[in-house]
Amino acid sequence: MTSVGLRPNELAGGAVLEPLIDVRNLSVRFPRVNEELVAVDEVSFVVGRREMVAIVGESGSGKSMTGLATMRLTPFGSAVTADQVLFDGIDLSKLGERQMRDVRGRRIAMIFQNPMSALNPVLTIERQITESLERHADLGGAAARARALELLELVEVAAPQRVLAGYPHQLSGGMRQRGMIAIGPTGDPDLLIADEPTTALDVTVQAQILDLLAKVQAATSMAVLFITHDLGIVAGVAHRVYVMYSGRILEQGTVLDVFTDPVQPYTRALLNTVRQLGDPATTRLSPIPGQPPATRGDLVGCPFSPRCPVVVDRCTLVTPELRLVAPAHSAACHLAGGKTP
Amino acid sequence: MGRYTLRRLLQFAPTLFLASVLVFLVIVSAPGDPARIKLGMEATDEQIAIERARLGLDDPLPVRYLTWVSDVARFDLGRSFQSNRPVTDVITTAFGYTARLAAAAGVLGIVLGLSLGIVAALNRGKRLDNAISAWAAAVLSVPSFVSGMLLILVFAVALRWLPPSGAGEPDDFASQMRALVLPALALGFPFAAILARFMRGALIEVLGQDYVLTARAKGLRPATIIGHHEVRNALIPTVTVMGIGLGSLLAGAVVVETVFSYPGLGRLVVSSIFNRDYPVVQAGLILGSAVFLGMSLLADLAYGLLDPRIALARAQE
Amino acid sequence: MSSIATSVPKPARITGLELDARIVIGGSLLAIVVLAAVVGPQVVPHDPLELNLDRRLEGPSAAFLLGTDEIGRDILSRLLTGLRPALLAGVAAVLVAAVAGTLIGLSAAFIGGLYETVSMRIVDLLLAWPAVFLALGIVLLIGPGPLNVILAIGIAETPVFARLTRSIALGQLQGEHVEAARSMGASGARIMRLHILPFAVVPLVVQLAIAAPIAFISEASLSFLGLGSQPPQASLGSMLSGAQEYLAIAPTYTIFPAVVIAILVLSLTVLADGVQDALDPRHIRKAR
Repeated sequence: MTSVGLRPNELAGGAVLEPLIDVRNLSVRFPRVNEELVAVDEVSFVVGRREMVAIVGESGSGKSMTGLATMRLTPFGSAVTADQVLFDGIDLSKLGERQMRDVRGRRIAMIFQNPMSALNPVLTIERQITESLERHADLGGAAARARALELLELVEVAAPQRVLAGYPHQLSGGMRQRGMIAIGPTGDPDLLIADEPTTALDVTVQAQILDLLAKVQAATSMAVLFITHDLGIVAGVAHRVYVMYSGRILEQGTVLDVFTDPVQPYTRALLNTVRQLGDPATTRLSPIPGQPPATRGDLVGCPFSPRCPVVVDRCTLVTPELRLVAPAHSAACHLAGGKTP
Repeated sequence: MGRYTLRRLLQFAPTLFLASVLVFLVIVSAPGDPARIKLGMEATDEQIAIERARLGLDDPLPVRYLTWVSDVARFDLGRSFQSNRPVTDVITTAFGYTARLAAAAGVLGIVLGLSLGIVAALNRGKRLDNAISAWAAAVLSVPSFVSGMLLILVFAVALRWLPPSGAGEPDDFASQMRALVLPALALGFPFAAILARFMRGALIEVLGQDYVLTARAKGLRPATIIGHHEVRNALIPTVTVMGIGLGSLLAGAVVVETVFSYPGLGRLVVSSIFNRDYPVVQAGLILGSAVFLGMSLLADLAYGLLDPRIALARAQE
Repeated sequence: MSSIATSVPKPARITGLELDARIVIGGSLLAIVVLAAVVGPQVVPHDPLELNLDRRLEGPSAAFLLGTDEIGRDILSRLLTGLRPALLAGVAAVLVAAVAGTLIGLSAAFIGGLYETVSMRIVDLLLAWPAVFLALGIVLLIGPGPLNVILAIGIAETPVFARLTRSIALGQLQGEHVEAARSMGASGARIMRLHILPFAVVPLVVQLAIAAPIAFISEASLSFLGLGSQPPQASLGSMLSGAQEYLAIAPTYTIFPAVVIAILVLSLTVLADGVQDALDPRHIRKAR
């Protein structure tokens, strides 16, 4: 079984990128007494060097778990399988835990959603940064502190000395997130996985953080895998996007393609739910009817079928595969392949 | 940090006052006429009346309280009815033994309890964890005097490795150490079990926290993660329990010392209750209370010192 | 297809009802002990007070299944008769503590002000002292005896219940449903009954389960020290006190009462653990 994913060197616009990480058929399942719960179902994705790629989905779509699975940090009780997790020539799925530890932080870094809980409350910011520097950059003492200061300046923290000496609870939300981001480049990684880095922040701060991420990316030439539920962010920031629903990728492509010409009914519905600032006041909100899916077992057919406005019988009987609808754009829908109404 | 400590100490003062009042009330309410007990059965009513006046037993309570407080502050605790030795002497000797026992049991409890708790939490759900939890439950189900007696049975009677009672010869350090082993085990094991349980719970709580995930994502070595993030954070609430637990070691000592005929404060207080040797009982109560309150205060202070959130928050109040 | 190994625990599968093993084991053990306590005095082979001076400190024999004590009384009979008062004492003590503690805690939360401050200060103070020590002090005050021990332990355990109910009550009182009730003129008692007590039931039960073993151990300890049931009444603690002198000569005299106490408290602890986990979904230790 192959997934026809985006071939990175066929990016619209002609820019040739090399794949930095190439994941094929990643699954995360949770064995239970009577059945097996599926959080991530045969997901494949690629991130090229210096690319910003987004994974978009509602909560429960499996997007965070995908990021965790790439780092092999899934929670206790999970079973992770994949055909390959190829990172810069190394298959991560074949590494021992020790070797994986050398990869984490150093080659691939991950930052998380809620910096209040993601940072250790009893350690100073400085310690949390230098800890990583000691481990990966072989810096200690004064050298580490200097580098930590540099990193805080990189993330545009106003009074870096004070912040270094402070504890997480003393900082504002935006400041904490900057601190979190500062930890990302400590090992000089090639890939940064950012799991909903702006979700816990005010809208205004969000914008700042996004700009910051772009800046950091440019400065360090990292690739970024950006996990979020917020479409608005994706549009402004990413080159390519994967749309996930209930553990599967339903649509993928360049941001331009997916946003201007969404094929999967889910993507279209999702885009419809977002109101633009210029829309007239009388525009009605159009939510997607039904409930987001609960955790599920094995599923045949399209996971969106219960809520799909154009569902046909085939949708519940046969699982739709991702198929190319444009040179750099694929969707998993039986009604795709050619123009859809 | 200093401000937090100061605040805590200030809050401690009314507690101390309340405690002293309570102890005082217990003492004056104890049945029996101290004067009569002191003078014995043959004393005449006149002699008793004179003694009562001398001891100030008929003064109004607040006056008696103040006298009592000033006596205690000057370490004038009277003389034992039994032996007529100054109570301070009697108490200090006995407390020395108890302190030794409590220290030994405390060290055992902390070392054993914390390690087992950490091991259990890191292996949660597996057989090792279940075994440790079962051990803790079993240990806590047996009152310390029972375990003491069983220990005597096995090690002193059957195997004859260790003495069944007493505190060893006065100048023989080795024999004193040997005499400490069994009582320290009887006293220390329940303490270890409580600490193990608590540490396990605290550590499991910590293990589920996001910052542990962050630490793992940073690719830190397991030793660093466990030491620097997990155990360190779990230790904070555990320290409070430790403080209180150390205090309760003294309570447990009451029973254990009786079983082992160990000449400590606990056994002294119990026998004094039976002999109605009130000055000794009173001194024991005061000393015990001071220790418990002191321990809980120390635990509180330690918590504030270790957890920067508390210390800084309080200092800013 | 390569599999990235993470630890996958085997799902727990106990009885068909998926009851926690601890509840089953603890519950059955406890049931046995309770049964023995209830039925015991009726089925004793000998009169627990009967002396047989010619057969003192014997080990188990045909006539005396668990041996005899230092004045020739049958240990088995004394154990069976001593169980009931021990159980009752523990239960009574915990109930006293629960009732008194609830009253204090609820009233403190309701009345507030100086009353609350003072009472909670006293409660905190009492919490600083270990239960056994407190109980000792109280027994000193009111004298020894089985009823007094119950009272002493009850008072010693009250602070925990008071703290618990007060914090629950405070938490609930801040809720909007109470505000709504009050605005409709509900009396304090009504609010207490309908809006607070239901939330307190589960934590109280859990706390009872935790406090009960402590009460039993305290009762045994106090009896051991001679402050509980007075001779010639049989009580587990005082039996052990008597056994202590003859440890070398008659080990079974010590072992049997010790085992009984251990089983009683262990079954309670195990049961309490199981109940606590079953009622509190946060304490999920196995992957469910």
